[in-house]
Parts: sequence; C-alpha cells; structure tokens
Amino acid sequence: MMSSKKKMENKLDILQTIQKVDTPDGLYERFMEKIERPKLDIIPITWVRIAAASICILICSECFIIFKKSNTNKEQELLSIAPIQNNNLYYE
Amino acid sequence: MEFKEIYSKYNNLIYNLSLQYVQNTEDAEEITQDVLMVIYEKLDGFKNLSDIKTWIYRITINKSLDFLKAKQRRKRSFFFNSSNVDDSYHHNSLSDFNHPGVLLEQKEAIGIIFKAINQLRDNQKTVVILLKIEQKSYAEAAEIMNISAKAVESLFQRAKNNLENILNGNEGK
Repeated sequence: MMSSKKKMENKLDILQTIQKVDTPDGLYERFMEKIERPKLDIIPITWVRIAAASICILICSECFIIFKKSNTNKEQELLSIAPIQNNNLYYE
Repeated sequence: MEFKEIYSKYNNLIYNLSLQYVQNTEDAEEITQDVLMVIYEKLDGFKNLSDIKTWIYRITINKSLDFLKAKQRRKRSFFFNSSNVDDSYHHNSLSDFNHPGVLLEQKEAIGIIFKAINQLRDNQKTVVILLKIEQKSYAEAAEIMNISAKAVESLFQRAKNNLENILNGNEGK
C-alpha cells in the first residue's frame, strides 16, 4: 500500500511535465527603451503623505483659531450690551 | 560579461521561473523586467561571474515573491471592508489559471496543484518550485536559497504535508 508521502510525490511529479516557454518577442527592446527613457522626477509617496497631513493640520488649526476668535467676539459683544453695574451710590 | 550576453543566456530562465510563481504571462513579464533592471544596475559590481546563475535565480525568486506580496496588499486594501477576502494570490477558479507551459489536457490537474502551492509559505513554495518544476537537486536548491541541503529537505517535507492537507481539504468540499 502506497504511503501518503509517496502519493504526494507522485501527485507533484506531474509538475515535471510543465514545458519551458520562450520570453515574449520584443522584451529586450521594451526593456532597453525603459532604460533609455529619461527618468521622471517621481516624488516618493511618503513625502506626498507628509505634505497632505501638514496641509490638513494647517487647515484644522486655522479653523480652530477662527472658531475661537468668533466665540471671543461674541463674549465681548455680550459684555458690551450688559455693562457691569459698579455704582456704589445705589448700593444698599 | 556584457548585459546583452547575460540577457541572451538567462532571459528564458528568468521568465520561466517567474511564471512558476505567478502562472500568467503578463505578470511574469513584469517580474522579468524588474529582474533585468536589478541585473543591469548591479552587474558592474558583481565580481564572481561563476556564480552569476545562482545570483540571477535569487533575484528572480525575491522579485517574484515581492510581486505576489504587493499584489496581495493591493487586493486587501481594495476589499478592506469586505468580509470575504480570500488570502490566496489569485485564480480562485481554474478558469483563471493561464500558465502557457501547461498542456491543455493537464491544465485542470496542474491548476489544482498550483492553487495549493500558492497557499504555501514563501520558502516552502520556493522549494517545491525549485525541486519539482525546475528539477534542481537538494544541493542546487540549497545553494540558491542559501540554506543547507538538510534544511531544503525539511522544508520540502513540510511543504508536502501542507499540500496534502490543502488538497485533501479541497477534495472534501
């Protein structure tokens, strides 16, 4: 009775029937074209991500500052409408 | 040795080895181009021309495995919300299997085996490809993989066990 090891070996033997094929035509020419083409200045994706994150942080901080300013202005407006009474003459 | 000379001598080796990893001509061509680029750039610094074949084997294996990992990452990021992500590289169905070196009458049988091989870990996959498809000896495979012959034997044994489990699991379905 064939062991499972041998069975597996036999199954894998079929892989030996795979034939070698030739490289596609023009592969060398395409490769040399790639070499000779001037290299584009490609910015690494890491730098793009850093720049995008910086812009987001800048915009968020700007929004935060504007929001804070508008709240401060509202407080000042309220204060100007209702002045603090500091008249000791009417103190009882 | 000039680059063109190296290309003439080894282009089929690189292309066919890549094919064993990706099983389609388009991806194999892309990997071949990447390998050629490495050879082109590093050839001047490569002194030991007697080992050039081993060197080319190593570059091709590494580039093929890198290609598979990159493709898997792209697939995962595209389907990151899906709960049905399949961890195997590709050809979930035999109709996707398109290895040009496989005879038509053996396409189904070999397709099933490759589907199992694709699920192995990198080093086990490499051992199976080198020993069974490239028909290297244990010593040759050991030199290419930069490990001992004993380690190759051990890896091959584990690969066979895993393949058996995968194939038996599929047969049960």
